[in-house]
Amino acid sequence: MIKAQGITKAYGSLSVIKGVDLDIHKGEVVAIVGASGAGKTTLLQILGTLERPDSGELIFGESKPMLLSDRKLSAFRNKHIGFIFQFHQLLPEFTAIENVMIPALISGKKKNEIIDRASALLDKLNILDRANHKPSALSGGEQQRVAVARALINQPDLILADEPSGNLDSKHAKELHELFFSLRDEFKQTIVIVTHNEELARMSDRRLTMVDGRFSS
Amino acid sequence: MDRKSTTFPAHVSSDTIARESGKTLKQWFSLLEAHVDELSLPEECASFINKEYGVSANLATFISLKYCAFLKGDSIEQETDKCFYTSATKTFPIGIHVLESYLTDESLRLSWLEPHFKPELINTGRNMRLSSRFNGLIQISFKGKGPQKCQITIQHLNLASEEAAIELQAFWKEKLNSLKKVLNVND
Ligand SMILES: Nc1ncnc2c1ncn2[C@@H]1O[C@H](COP(=O)(O)OP(=O)(O)OP(=O)(O)O)[C@@H](O)[C@H]1O
Ligand SMILES: [Mg+2]
Repeated sequence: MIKAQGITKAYGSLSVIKGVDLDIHKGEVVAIVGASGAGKTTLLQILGTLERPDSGELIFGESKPMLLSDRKLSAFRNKHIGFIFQFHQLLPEFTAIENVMIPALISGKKKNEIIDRASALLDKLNILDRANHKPSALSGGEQQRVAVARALINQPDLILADEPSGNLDSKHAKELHELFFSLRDEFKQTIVIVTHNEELARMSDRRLTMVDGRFSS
Repeated sequence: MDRKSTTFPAHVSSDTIARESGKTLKQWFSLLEAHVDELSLPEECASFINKEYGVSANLATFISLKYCAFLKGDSIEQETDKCFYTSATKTFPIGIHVLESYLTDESLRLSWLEPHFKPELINTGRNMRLSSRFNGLIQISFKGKGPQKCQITIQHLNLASEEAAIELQAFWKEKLNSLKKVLNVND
């Protein structure tokens, strides 16, 4: 589904990604682990088309997104990729369900369909009863689940998560991890997760270790 | 050391938006609508307005939040009339990263702020948001004025009334004074 070949990236004279090849299949949960500074976040941003690599090729299904203009690339990203970050970036002045709906509203989807889908997602994530609360009234785990629902609302082909449970206690982290696997089982959702969580890495379909800008084998 | 606090009742009114951004909210909304394919997150809308049209980051954020409110069904007028905000600013004789650590480091933060304030959307060396039990949106920004001099600005946006803005102005002024005491620096 996604193929990366010979990816490199440097920031000034600092070479951060030193030649990465990667092949991710549909419905796979891939964990990327490695020491701080190894280049995990940078690689995830390249896979998510947020950063352009210096060299190498990224093939996403049938397309090569790196050949697109910035405008077209944004459109591509919005259609195909969902992001989950360690610090959920929910809007404090909107309720949980509104936060989930917003990316779909901005993307011009039909409002009735959005409401149905957002409710279904919150239900699936066991927080439908919190739908009308603002983020400040939700626990960290609940906020993170809202962020996950928001990442799913536009039905992305690929979810990229950067230390999604880094900010959660072990109970909430476990719930979130179970959710990733149920998304894979039910919807064949493809997920790439950068994590420092050993248990999550072990449960994944594949675990890749990054050492100094490369995958070690 | 300068200290400044301001309240702007209804400051980000339709008039101010039109004057400072060069377009009315309605015009901004149609413009964003014309780019549905490229945009999906509020921060993308804000960065689009900021980068493509040179509107200040704060005002761009504000417009994009109004857009989200509009999309979920609020009327343009209803929302803009509710926009009261306040801000407080202070300059300290310390470097930007030290000052920033008084928000990002939990134990340092607790030395001057209540535990319900939590930093998020951290843009190292530039700005962050604070989530809290308060209504409104709290935005903090830093501006280095030399290696050992830094200005912090706290903006509390989207408040429902002028009274709330005045009350919070006093609150943030006092908080910046507490921060000054904790930092143990002189005026
Ligand atoms: N925008 C940037 N400009 C300059 N250097 C950068 C930038 N982004 C990352 N780096 C550097 O690239 C290296 C890899 O960073 P990256 O964030 O990818 O690491 P990571 O594996 O995600 O680490 P962590 O586990 O701490 O999140 C680091 O040395 C970092 O300082
Ligand atoms: Mg990282």
